[in-house]
Amino acid sequence: MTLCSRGHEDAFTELYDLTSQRIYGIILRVLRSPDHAAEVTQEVYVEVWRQSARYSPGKGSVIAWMTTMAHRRAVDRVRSVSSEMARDERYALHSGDREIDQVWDGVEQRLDIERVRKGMASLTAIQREALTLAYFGGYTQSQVAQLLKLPLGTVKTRIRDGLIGLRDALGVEA
Amino acid sequence: MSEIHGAVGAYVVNALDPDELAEFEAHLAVCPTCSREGCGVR
Repeated sequence: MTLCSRGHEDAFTELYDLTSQRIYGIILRVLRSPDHAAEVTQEVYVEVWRQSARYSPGKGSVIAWMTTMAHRRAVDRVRSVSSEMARDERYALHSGDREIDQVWDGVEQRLDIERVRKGMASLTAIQREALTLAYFGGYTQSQVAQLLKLPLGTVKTRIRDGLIGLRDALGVEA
Repeated sequence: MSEIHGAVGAYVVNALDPDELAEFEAHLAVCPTCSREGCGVR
């Protein structure tokens, strides 16, 4: 990453080769459209290239920095496109815990997948539901509250408690 | 716990509306607890 920030194209190519599948996977999971996902993936790498000097190791790993950026951009895309049809499809998501669990079952990431899956399984169903809608559905907390017909404060708490539960399950230090 | 602290989870998963985001980021700048919990993810 340091080399990227100094404009080393080879370093960037290597970074791309190492991470692009994973980044694309995260984006596709939110967007559900290969075309949109490919576009957003490209945007992410442009941003990574431009912002690489601003990456600070103290803030976490490179992959964490990139996946956070990828997720944010995917969510931004969902909100800007937000065609009614796509929305309607996603509304189907909240029709039950089983379907939501299937979303997690499909997550394809090599190393951490089992740990994350176990972590998600350790959450309560209501925490998992709120977190899944927010993270994979790209919904804002107020949209999640509307979908689940719950007060905003409740949703806020569930998302946060879900993340805390996940963190504890994964044994990540606060 | 005041309500604004509770938004840290939604912040981490990009689930705040733009106005909530602005409000929370202003809070984040002055709140060590939330900065620690949010772990500088963005």
